[in-house]
Amino acid sequence: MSLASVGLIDLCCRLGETPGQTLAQAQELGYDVLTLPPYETPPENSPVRLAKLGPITQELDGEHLAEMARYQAGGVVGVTQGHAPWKNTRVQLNALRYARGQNLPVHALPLDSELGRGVAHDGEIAQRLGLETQPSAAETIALARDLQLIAETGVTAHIGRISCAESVRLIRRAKAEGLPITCDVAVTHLLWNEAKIEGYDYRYRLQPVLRSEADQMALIEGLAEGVIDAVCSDHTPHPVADKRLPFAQAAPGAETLHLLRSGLMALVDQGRLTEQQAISAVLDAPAKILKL
Amino acid sequence: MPSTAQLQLTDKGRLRHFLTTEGLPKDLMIEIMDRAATFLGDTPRDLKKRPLLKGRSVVNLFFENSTRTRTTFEIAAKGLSADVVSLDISTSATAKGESLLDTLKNLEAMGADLFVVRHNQSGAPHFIAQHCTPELAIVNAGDGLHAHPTQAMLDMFTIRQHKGDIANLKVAIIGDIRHSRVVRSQVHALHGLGCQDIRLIGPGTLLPRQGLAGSLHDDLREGIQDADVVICLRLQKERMASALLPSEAEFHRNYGMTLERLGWAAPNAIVMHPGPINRGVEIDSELADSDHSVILNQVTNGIAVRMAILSMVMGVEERL
Repeated sequence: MSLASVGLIDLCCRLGETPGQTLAQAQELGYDVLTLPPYETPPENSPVRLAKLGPITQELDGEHLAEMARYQAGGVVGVTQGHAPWKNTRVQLNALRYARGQNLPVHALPLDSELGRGVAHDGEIAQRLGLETQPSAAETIALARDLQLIAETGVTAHIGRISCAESVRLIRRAKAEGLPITCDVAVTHLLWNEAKIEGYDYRYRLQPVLRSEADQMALIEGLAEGVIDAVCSDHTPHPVADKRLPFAQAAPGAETLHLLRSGLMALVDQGRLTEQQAISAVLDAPAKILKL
Repeated sequence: MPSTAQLQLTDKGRLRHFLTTEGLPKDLMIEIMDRAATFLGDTPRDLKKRPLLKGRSVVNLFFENSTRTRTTFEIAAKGLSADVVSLDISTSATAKGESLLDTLKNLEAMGADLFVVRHNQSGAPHFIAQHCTPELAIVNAGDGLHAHPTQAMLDMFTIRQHKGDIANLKVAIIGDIRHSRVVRSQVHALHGLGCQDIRLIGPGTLLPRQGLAGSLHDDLREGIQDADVVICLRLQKERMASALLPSEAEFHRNYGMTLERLGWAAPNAIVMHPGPINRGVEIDSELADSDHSVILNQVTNGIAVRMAILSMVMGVEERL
């Protein structure tokens, strides 16, 4: 099996305003499975197999538990709060405990809502451009809390879209201590870093933000080392009118379906990953996470 | 994408737009100041008017309120005989949900030569310069936390006027460094003009972590020691609401400039402020009204410097 021909299993893809087009593009690019966040509405006859995540709180309000059993009966592969904030830690603890009782995996996207409001990594470039900054602690504080609550509840958990070296360290330590978690990174964060936002390039306004080159390298190393299990596209299509705006006003996210395979192939060519590691990151690992 | 510094220059290295002092070649900064000097008379009332932009139209496009900056741009444009229109966009088009690009295209269709843009988003003038027709020039009148380059150039002009060559000076800037577009532009300009000793002073919550030339000081006395130029910044009231400072009084206790504290700086140090000043917060009245203060010179100089910049981005190459 080669990376060029393997059927891709994506742990996060949004369909955007034209779901049919996104699905057709995914099929053409050789995706076998797309995982959709809550409240995506795919057409009835999708050409690509879909795995759906349900909300863990009602309308992701962070306050009231969602009817997880109902979603489970409807075939969701797990539940998530996405990047939406929790009302408080007690709700989060209850939600994870309830999901554990339903035997539903939780996909956690760690981001502190207040520190996470910044639009660019808290580094030299954002300071110079005068953009509101998002320190790595926006992610690591939430991640550390998530890990504690996962350990406390014993829920099956997957950590999605980590973006910085410190998160790799936290996950490595948690795994070493025996916490049964898995983890993914968006392909964008393996290929790019904060240098991309020079000139206020709104195409690179992402959530989580693109961080330093050292963070990028730590993510690649974390993947090679197996601390990070999977790589996803994190495809996020926006109408051009929502994206072509002054940087901080541009909607976060980019169209990246075409990057998952080609990006990993580039990393293999550069000798940063073996082909087997790359294949595992888009096939074996996500299949196991989704229990396919 | 081109950086803002690249975007503002023509192939020949002349000003196509005026967006930032970052990476602005030293000879252009000196040309701006030299040209501004030719507009100055002996008193503020004697500003020399020249019809360099006769028949050209300047639109002041203010997406964020500013009476002072807008007025000085108006006076500058009129001093060059340009036709001037000022639009307060914050209360009109974009408030109705029209996108920035749509607003821009509409105004372009009305046939302007130059937009003076103020916007609360960092990079908005850069964005406009990227998407506007090539015939249009953009002058940044302040964007978010990013830049306020005309303010910085009038400050450089004022410093040179009182203290001579900027390369040999010690310059201290006090206040909310982290959230100030004025400071970013001042530091880039000072650095570009060869200043080797720039001190940025304020409490830790108001200092940048990295990214600006200059040393960081949380101690006022250490920061202004022997400084030739002391620049106070306006303290915004929002800083207390967002838990960056306990109170104005405490800021004044630690960082407020007084005539007495100016004694720590070099003899004959000048004190500057981009205005409007909060008396008794960042600067005492006694100091603001003293001979050390050049705050009102800054205002007059602002008009001359803006006349110079407007004429340069409009391609007036005449050596004056």
